[in-house]
Amino acid sequence: MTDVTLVLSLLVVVALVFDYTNGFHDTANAMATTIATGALKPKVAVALSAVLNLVGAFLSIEVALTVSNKVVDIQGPDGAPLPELMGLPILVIVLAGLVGGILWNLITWLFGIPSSSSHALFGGLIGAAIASLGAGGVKWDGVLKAVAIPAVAAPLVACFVALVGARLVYRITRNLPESSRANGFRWGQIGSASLVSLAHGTNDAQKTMGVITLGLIAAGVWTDTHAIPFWVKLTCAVAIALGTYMGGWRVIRTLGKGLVEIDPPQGMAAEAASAAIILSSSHAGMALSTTHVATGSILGSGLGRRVEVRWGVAGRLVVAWLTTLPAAGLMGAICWWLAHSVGGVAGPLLICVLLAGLSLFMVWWARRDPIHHENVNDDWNGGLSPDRNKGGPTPRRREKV
Amino acid sequence: MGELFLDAGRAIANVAIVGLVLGAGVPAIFALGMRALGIGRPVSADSTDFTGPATATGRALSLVFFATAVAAVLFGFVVIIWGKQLFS
Repeated sequence: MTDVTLVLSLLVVVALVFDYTNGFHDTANAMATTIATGALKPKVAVALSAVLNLVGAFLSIEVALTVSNKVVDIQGPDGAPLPELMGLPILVIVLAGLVGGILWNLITWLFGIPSSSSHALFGGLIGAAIASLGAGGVKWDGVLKAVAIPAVAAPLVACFVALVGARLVYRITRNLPESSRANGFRWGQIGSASLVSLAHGTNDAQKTMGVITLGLIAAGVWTDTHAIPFWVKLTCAVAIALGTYMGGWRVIRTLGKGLVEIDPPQGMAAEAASAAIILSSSHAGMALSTTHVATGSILGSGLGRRVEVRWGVAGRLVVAWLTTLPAAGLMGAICWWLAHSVGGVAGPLLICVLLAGLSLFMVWWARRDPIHHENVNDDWNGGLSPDRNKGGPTPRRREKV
Repeated sequence: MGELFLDAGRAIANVAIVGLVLGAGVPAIFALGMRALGIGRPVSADSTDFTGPATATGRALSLVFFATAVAAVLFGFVVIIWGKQLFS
């Protein structure tokens, strides 16, 4: 086995791990509201979302080889690697970027923060590209167009649409008996959340497929820039579905219970706004992050229903969004530097071992304060951990509107 | 650079309009369906639940609204699967 083949194998495995973290990090976007209102039992919700992600991943007919091409200058216009970077150089850049993205996904998951997986991936790649090629390795106007502007616009537009939707829904149904209204809207929630899950599978699995195919081309084992090998499609679809089924319960808890209390009509308004915005944005030439849209929608639906929004939680999320790109970038850069300094196959291997170690550490850390399908809906009392509530003051019930 | 922001603004405006029509409109249509189901229907004394079945008018009206909402969701599936061919 040559060095290139070995590093390529590492890249494929790490890319699939990224896809998996992408899945569990984003389960909340579609299912947090459905779980919070009891429209679906937690396990059923994640299973449904996983199946739809799997189906969605197979539905993606586009070749997302140019995903990374928007922000970093390592590929030609057709998506093939630049000739001078063919082989190890581009493989190491992409590998370091992926490791940086995964680390940031895990850190934000640990704190229950719904941060964008695509921004983490972009951040990691940008950091690794700067470290290896200098500032010229980054397409800065691409960063502005594909990352910065959407990051500001997505939550605002989603918040506004969901606010209007929730206001309308509550106005129209204000004279209906509470229980029949709640039951009816639970069905609406399931429908709209399913759409978000399917769209997620189509959009996000595609990115990992693109990254792996880029690696295959760089290593010289695949040449077609218009097609993706079937095994890549299959493994990416399965990885994102498995991740989704794992359920990022910490993030689900923040979005479903932490930001604002959710009622079924409000949940439907939030998910419908998310679905409409995610779908329309990918056709308007500005793909918005599912995470930013979902968070904005949930916040807006709370404002529309006129219930208390926990601005402290919302503020933490905004800070995390702003730091996602630079933080993942820093990690991507450090990883590239480590891999490059050690060199050969040992360098890439070292950052993979580092990734495994840090991942295990974070999983262990999370286990000290576990959040799972049984306590994900416990009352929110100032923090992510439901255990902190034990023995504390009785959680204040919020007024129903 | 100015053009970049102009393009972005245009894209955002489009997304906001489609978002409002579908993202806020569909839940509103669903809500109208829910409301139609309650037309002329007896409610329990504490007004927490219905005590009788929906009226024929209510059923017929709600069916129209719900069918519209379901059609919108199906349209969403079509957009996910064939959207790129349809809209570009």
